[in-house]
Amino acid sequence: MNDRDPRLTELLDAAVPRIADDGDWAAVIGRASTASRPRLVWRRLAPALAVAAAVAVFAVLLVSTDDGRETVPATPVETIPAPPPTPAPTVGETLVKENGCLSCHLLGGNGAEGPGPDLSIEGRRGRGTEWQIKHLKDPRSLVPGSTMPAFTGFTDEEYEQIATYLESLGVSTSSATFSILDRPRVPADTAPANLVPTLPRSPGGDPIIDETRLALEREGVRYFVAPATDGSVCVLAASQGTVQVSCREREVLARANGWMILTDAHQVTIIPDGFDLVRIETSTGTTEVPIVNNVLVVTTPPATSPGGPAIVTGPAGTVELTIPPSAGSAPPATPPPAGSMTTVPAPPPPAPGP
Amino acid sequence: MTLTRSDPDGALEALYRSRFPDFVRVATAIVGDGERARDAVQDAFVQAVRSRDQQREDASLEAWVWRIVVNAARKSRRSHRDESPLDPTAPAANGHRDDPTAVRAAIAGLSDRQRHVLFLRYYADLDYAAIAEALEIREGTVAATLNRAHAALRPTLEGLR
Repeated sequence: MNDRDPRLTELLDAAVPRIADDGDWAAVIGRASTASRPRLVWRRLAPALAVAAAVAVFAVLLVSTDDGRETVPATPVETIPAPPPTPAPTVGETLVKENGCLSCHLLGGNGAEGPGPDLSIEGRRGRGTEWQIKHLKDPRSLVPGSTMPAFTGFTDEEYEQIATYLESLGVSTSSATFSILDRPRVPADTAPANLVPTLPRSPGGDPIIDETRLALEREGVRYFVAPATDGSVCVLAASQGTVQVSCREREVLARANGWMILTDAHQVTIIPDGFDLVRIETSTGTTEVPIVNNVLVVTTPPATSPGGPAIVTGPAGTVELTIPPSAGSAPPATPPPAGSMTTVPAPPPPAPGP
Repeated sequence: MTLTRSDPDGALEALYRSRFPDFVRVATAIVGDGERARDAVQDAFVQAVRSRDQQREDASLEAWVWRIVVNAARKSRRSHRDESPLDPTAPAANGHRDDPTAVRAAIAGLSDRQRHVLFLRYYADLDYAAIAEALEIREGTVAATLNRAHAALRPTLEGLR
């Protein structure tokens, strides 16, 4: 193409000469293999992540079994220590993150919001590694109409590693980090007045934010979330029975009755100053859960969590949630260690494949 | 562990190794600083390796990488808007004694698109189709933009002769 001005070529060459430089390809690969992807959807999914990360200023929670039995008995109270070190990524994790899965899927708050489902709880969908491998190789053979491309370039070992990793998501260990240090605190004597009117009402009268609800339902978790006046999040989740939160054991702040099912059951919330007790009422009784150091954690009942429900309270910081691998597998036989809590897995929701 | 699955055929590595100086050169022209330009190119290739599977099969790999490099350079430039190698007040990058300030000023006065088309044409020797892909504009727009850039620079260039 003879469209270049020779004089300009000379001048531009003088301005920025071509310098011999081989670069550092190894550094590129090293960084591409280890650095995390940008958190593209944090802001959009903030309410959902706030729940997932267990950040809430005020929460009302009901946990109830289908047979109506008491769901939250007396439970151990533990102090939550500093967060555990982040484990090194597995080969499967690296493969998932380096092969574009997050272009279409969310994973731990990173990646794209769609068109694929959130992989963060993929292991709770009851697929199994065999299904995962077949799905990777030919998505439409298992999910008709799927737009996911077939991933055919892996070795058998890599397929196994990816499938194992996917099956571990949402059922192994996840960390939720939160901080309330920079959040406005609600003075004890004003908290009830501030919080109660903030629950937005749907036409049916329930406090619902549709966008948040949809985001959470994609994850197979059914909560209702509403903002509180201080910009934080109020989480309401219930199925049968009612929930009451007491402020210094006097005032009922909210009541939830007959709302959607909280399929599984962990909830960590940060409670503003001035709240010292949560009273959970079901058809079979009432359980009072103390709030210690502004943190409340409630899990599901012993009927579905043989390791025992845990209500863990402690200072704001990091809480590690340990969820047993699956409904059929052996749960922890001993009480959860400090800094962790045991919950039951959610029933596999009818979510489409990744 | 397979770490380069996103570059399964080694095409990105080959491109990197063969054209790294050109990537840095164009990035330098955009960013205004050789070191930051080099960093931008490194960043761009990290991104390219991670998202290689997002590249459309019908598009040129090289043009796709140029697009990432240009965007990384633009991003770097945005955070250092006060510098440009083609700033009339800046010395020539190689101390070239004949580097006419007037032309540098004229180039600095072009629009970003004109400058970027100019850099990709002159420094990277990309054809119009590749420039179009790299800058996410139509091929016809590339030709028109280059023409306008030449027209804008012509009086200054002729003044040097």
